[in-house]
Amino acid sequence: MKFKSTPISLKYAPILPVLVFILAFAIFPLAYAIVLSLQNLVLIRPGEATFVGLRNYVYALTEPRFLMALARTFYYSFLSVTGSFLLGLALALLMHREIKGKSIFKILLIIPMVITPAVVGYTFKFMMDTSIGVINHIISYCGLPRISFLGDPVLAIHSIALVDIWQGTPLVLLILLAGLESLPKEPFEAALIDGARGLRLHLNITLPLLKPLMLFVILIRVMDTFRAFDLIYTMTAGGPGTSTEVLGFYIWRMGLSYFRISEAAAMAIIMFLIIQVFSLIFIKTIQRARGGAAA
Amino acid sequence: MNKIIKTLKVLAIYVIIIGYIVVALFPVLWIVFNSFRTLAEIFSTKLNLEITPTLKNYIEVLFIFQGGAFLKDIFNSFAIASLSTLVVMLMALPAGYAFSRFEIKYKENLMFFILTTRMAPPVAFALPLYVMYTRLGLIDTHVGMVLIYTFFNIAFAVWLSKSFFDEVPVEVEEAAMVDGCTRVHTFFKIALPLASRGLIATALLSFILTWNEFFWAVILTRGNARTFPVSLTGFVGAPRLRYDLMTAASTIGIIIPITLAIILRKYLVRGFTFGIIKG
Repeated sequence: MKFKSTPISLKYAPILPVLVFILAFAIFPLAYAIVLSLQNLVLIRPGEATFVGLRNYVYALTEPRFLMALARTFYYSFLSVTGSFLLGLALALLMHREIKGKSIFKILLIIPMVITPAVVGYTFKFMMDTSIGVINHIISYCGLPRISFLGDPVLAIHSIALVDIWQGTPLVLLILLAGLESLPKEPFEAALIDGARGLRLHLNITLPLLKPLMLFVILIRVMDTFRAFDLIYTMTAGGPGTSTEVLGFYIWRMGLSYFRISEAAAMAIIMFLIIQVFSLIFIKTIQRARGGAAA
Repeated sequence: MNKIIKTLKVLAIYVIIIGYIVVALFPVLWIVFNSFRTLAEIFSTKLNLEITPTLKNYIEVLFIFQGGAFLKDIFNSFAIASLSTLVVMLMALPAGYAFSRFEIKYKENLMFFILTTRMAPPVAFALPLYVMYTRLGLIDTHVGMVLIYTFFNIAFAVWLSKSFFDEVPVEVEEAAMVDGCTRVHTFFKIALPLASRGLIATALLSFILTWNEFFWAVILTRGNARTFPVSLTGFVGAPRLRYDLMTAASTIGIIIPITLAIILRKYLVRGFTFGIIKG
């Protein structure tokens, strides 16, 4: 009862600074981005910007390079999320039992998770190098031909996705493992008595119970891969050609490297809307999977 | 017979898990290993594990290359990450407490609104913020970086600290307030100390995330306020290929996040999921 009697000022004062800050750094910039996207501002060109209506949006949606980057982002995200999710789930199921050294394994798995992404990018660029890279040394030691992981336009995006899977899997693993360890025991005991074992036990009991958490992990990974930038920048800078230009990287290049701010802003708004729609659908699905409970 | 199959199964599980961990750790070990090797060994064109231990790469990257610019960048990273963490916590602690304890109108909506700012693609904010920073003279300044990282971390810090305050039993606070403690007193004397472990973990995670951040640092810094991850682009970005310097610099740069992460390992999963999932 005490809590209801808290004066309004004391209740809202602690939240106010956060809201003001977010207003200044998210809402205002976003509104400004919309304004920019309706103008024809080029940062290095002198003169006043004028309003051009939806021209930049039409331009974005008809420009092949932007559409390619959009499609590539979906593809990269799909590869990376599927790979890290399936690997993480399989390993989590394997590790969910009494094994010696489990706590040490868990600590070791933290390491790839928290390594600076730029370090990861350059490390793999070094390791995947055709002539001095250790991965190619091992490949050629086995008598196989060296692979141009980052120099081949078709291969490059897959190589980067592989690196993202490397860095993303431990988080999936640790989240799902924590989820598995906190599942109720009763359904399993009942199923064991009914004779369910191994894969069938997982398919019938474990996975349905874990579904909301699995959806949540996928949501996190999709958000993460959709804004891919660090690995692209450090490993290939969008190359060879434009074969690894994903959305975040291309918009950055358009806006802050070519300084075509207005066109880039229109593209950024499109990307923002895609992510918002996607996350909304996902959050609703998670809520439904939890039987209407708050996410 | 059954026992043999069972032993084999356990063995197979160990082989898979340990195999995976080797793959997960190899790149880290490879970087550290190479940072102590000579130029010729690093640039070897065939499989070669020779090492003539040397500190030359470290000395060059810290004191010689571009007049010790890397050391300055590391200091920048440290200063910017510490300060922004401080600002983040000063704002997130009261807000997290309020969200945990008070009946606030549209609480759920407000919390989700805060979270969406973190889930949105940063490039959407980057273009207007770049223009704003340019006009305000904040490009490549420490103040500008502290501000952007405060924004970068505030959402998860509010969510996470709320989840830690949620775990402090309300009854303890009620008892104190019956004894005449004011709300502000209860916050400082009871809620903060009881939730302190989790709150410290929140601060450490905010530090790690800032330390590792690349996108904003690339866009908003040039040299003066440049942070450690951007520093690396100077070694391996075209036209240079100084893997000798890159490995030494990377080894120095990843010590802090790895150490902090191991300290806060119990809270790490929860941190990375904004505290939505307990782990």
